[in-house]
Amino acid sequence: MLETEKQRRWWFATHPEFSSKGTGHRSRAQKSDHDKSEKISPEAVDAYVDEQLEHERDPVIIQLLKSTKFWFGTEFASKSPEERHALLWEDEEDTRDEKTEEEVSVDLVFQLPRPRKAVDKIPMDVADAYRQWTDTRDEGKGVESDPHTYLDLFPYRRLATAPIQTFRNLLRNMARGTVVSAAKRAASEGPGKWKEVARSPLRLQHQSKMSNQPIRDHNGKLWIREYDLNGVKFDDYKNGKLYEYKGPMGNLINRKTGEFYPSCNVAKGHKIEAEAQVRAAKGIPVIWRVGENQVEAFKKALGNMTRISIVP
Amino acid sequence: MSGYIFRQRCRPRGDFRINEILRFLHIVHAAFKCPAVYDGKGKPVELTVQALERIVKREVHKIFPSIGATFDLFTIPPKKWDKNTVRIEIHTGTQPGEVFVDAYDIDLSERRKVPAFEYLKTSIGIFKPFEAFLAEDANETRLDAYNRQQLIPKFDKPAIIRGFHYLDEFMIRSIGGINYCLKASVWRVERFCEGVLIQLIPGLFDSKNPEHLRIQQEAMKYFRLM
Repeated sequence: MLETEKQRRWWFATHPEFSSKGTGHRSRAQKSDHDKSEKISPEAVDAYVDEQLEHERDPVIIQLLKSTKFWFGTEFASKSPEERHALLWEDEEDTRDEKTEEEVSVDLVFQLPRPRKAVDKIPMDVADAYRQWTDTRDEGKGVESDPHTYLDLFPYRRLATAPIQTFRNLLRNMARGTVVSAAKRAASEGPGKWKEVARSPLRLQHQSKMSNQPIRDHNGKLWIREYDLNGVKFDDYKNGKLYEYKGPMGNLINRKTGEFYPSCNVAKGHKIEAEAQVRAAKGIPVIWRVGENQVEAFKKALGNMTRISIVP
Repeated sequence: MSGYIFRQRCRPRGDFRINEILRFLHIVHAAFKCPAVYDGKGKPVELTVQALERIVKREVHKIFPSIGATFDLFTIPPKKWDKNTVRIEIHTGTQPGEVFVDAYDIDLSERRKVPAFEYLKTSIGIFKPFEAFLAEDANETRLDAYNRQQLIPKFDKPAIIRGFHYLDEFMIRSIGGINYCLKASVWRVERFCEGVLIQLIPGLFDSKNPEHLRIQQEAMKYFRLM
């Protein structure tokens, strides 16, 4: 029971997942260089776990240590990106068959550096171990409830949760604010403002590369700066022109007809987006940079529009 | 493969032209002999004023309502897309003063799907556009029609002359006036609706046919569009 303010603060600091801000007691430390000294290498994890395993006899704690070693030690780090992806996301709905190779590779790039997923795997492993342990212990007792369960667990409570929380905080802080793509920020100003917006990872790397804006991983989302003019976002503003960078869309174009597949409503979406941009630009030239083999498809989709240039 | 698209451009009037769209869809119905027209989700569209109003209001631009509504209709549900599907692209309800125009297009991806010109003429009679034409994709690319149009942002004159091209009186003035137009040496030039209908050749324009290209080039020279 949390009765005092001090207790409440301690609880939220050690359980950031229940905090509305999503920050733990590490959030303050994040601003300093303190975290740099706390980054752990896979070799250090291996050494720590091996040392602890020599002294530990409890099956749950052993499983916790083994699980930590597996996910953050050298074994996992030495695997190929595809294997790591498979292990981390095996319990997720697999939609890779529906995606193109290009989309899958983009997914891999953005999902792999997230240690949070691995952190979340550890409690599952520990819970399995605890279940096995209680099953073994309760064998022959039937369904009779054990009145001593709480007392049995209590001594291990701090022991079991503290390392998880420590790892979780450390790794979350490592992931928070990570600049996935380190690009220089453009300094072009103009009638609008640069704003940071959360975007889906698909084609974001292309946008970052073209606009020279860094992608930032924060709170599980990828953020990029875009140019906001009259409530409409553009990918870039430079030399007095507004730019929109369209990533690879070859798979959305019918090669026979050279136009967007009508069933996926892409052409309509582009048209609505283009209308909003031209309207918001109020005379400032709008340029869409698209793939070389997609110029004609875009021109056909925006056929009745003026004041927007489509260039490869 | 070269596809065709029939485009009709109308000056913004500030209303959704529901009655005109309804009559236009009846023409589509007759021209392509489709049992119904379907919306983007594959649901059949009831050809009534109320049903169309519902669609148009739903599709009005979310950020700038004065731009109007953009939506697609299909002769076959889009999920069951096949070689006979025809897409009707509608942009309607633009307010006067906006930089856009209302457009009522029929996307015919194949030559064989182009209906008789009488249907297109009837459609022009319904909307009374300032410009309507049957564009061939390959020809548009060859003459860079899109970029030419960008140089005429207010649609004051045609970018190029297509095989089947209607221009209203205002547009006709930009290329020499009605009398000058009627003297053009192409297959047929006639007064039609509120302007002039130019047909370069008797049938469909084909950019693979050198004769068609020659006639088009001469016509564009005549109208000072080269």
